[in-house]
Amino acid sequence: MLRRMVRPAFFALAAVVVAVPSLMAQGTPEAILERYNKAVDPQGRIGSVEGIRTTVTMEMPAMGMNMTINSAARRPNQIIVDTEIPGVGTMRQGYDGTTAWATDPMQGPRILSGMEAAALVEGSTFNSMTRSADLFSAMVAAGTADVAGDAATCVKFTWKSGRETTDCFSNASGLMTRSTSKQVTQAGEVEVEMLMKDYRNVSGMMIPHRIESAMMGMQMIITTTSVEFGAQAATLFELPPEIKALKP
Amino acid sequence: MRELRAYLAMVAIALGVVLPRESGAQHTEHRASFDSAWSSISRTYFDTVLIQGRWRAAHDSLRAKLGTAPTLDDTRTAIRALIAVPGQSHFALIPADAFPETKARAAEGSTRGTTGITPRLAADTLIAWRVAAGSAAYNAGIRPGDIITHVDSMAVDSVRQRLLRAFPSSPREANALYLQVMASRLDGSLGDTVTVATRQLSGRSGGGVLVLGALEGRVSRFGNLPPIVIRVSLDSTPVSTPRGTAQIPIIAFSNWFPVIIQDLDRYAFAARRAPGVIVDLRGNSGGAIGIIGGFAGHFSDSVWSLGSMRGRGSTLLLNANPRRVNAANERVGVINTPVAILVDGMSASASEFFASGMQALGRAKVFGEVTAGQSLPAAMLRLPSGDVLMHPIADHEDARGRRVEGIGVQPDTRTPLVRSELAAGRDAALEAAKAWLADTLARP
Repeated sequence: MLRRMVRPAFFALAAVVVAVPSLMAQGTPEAILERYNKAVDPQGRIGSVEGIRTTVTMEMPAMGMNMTINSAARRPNQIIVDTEIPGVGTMRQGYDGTTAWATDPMQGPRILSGMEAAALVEGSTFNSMTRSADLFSAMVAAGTADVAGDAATCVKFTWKSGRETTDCFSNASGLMTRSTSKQVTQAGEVEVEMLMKDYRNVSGMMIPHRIESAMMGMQMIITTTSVEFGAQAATLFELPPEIKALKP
Repeated sequence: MRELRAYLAMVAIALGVVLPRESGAQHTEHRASFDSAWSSISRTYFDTVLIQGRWRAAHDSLRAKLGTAPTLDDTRTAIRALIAVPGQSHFALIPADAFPETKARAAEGSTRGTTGITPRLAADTLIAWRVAAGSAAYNAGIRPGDIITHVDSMAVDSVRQRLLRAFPSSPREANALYLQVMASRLDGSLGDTVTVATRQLSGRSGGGVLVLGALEGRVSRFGNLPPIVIRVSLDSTPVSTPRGTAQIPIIAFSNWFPVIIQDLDRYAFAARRAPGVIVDLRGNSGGAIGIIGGFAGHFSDSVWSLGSMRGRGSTLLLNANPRRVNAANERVGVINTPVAILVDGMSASASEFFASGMQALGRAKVFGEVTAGQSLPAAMLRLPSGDVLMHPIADHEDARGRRVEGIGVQPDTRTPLVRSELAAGRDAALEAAKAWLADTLARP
């Protein structure tokens, strides 16, 4: 008899415990963001990180292409991203703190402008990793979502550049599990959805090691192969000669 | 691309190709291939009305017919029936055995062979348009303008008649497929033999048993496509100008593939010194869209759009990026001289993007014949069976919002092929382009 009573009580208690984070997550966008920051960087390490270097692979099954993307970032806002595409060559994109640029074997060199440049500049800011509130001009609640079976609460962010992303944060972990945005490219805006999975602790920070992305219905799978925190040489971020030649 | 088209066409007309049959253990994989093909197109095809209507109905019907134990042959038949539903270009199922790694062909493209004949249609008749000097066809006495009557004892016009019956409402499409199929039949593996019968301008019969020689060009491996032999060349032709005779560069290439990017750029940078440029896209069946904007950028002083691609949820512009820095990282100007583009019925896809965009923007004049009208950007998905599914992911419009798919690029000056002119060594499209350049350059 006791067991018959305890068991439902146990499950009821468990249900309450499980529900607590959900209730916690139903806060203001600011509260959700604060919770995310604590989840992704529990020890507040980002403030002391001087640089980061990552390697990821990106698979595009619809094209039969596998790319390797090496990137480096340096505080406060320098970045360089090299994408090696077999059979094509290396596409490069960077921001040296003043000039956003891109060059690739097919298109040649370009100095980025407008929203395309703004998106790269915002993405290269260290604070963007933790979605620092000062990056946004507005943030509003955007409802709830089931992200691959995980309940999440979503916030629509308007970045200071004007671009918008709708990010969903797991009610259970506080981590970002989905981001939907219109990515600005040379060819225009493209709707992109990204599902962040397989978060792992790297030097005290939680980094998604698998991102499943969809763009114009085509799927991309991004797998993190290495993440290293540490100072990066300033020379890495210098403008390449073909970009210097483009400058007035 | 010729290989791709060949497979597409082979399906359409059933030229006697028998696909390998399998049974038993791979049924699950075959069903998965069908499902993968259906779901991939469902996710990406731009016409959502079709996807929600006839497409789903076709799936249900074909899936039911497949049953629980389909063979590879059954599955391919079902997928081909499925991709015929939209009635658009760039739907194709490329069998796994088209890929060297699955057929253990050595040295990839170096095993490709050709008779040396480049066929075209002249007044709906299959003719030798070009015959490579020193090729098997040339050595057999076949010359430009000769009618091709039989290939391997097959009366070629019977193929065309079958295609016309298969595409009763679209003789244009039937003709395009006919030409693509016959082009593929005149190529093959190095050392193979093809028997070709011809009729010369004089009415005499010609041809013979031709041993396929090496197909010249560079082998490209790109994504899920099978290896393709790509040709690129820089030639020149004299044109009269007020300052005397000038050599006008002719940049010709068979496909838009990364393997030739450096050559294209080198030729385009060199062309800045000339008073005009001719881009020869005849027979260029397309390739990677990303290259178009970079090449078009040699001719544009500002970022302008050659057209747009409307896909699911997004419309992307096909922008030209002005090419103001050369390979030595020196600042240079772009090409601001007149540009002539040569096209024909075998110019397709990326070539149509480029030609229609340059024409719509008033940056080039187009000469030749109406293009293939196959201008949809496509993805290539490898299915669980190893076959590759090519399927369009966006609709294309030129810079004036005109659709090119099914219509083709309309030349500013049409130059239909005439056998007697070919036999006399004349190139009507090139001559028209030269005349226009001479006239344009003569103006103050």
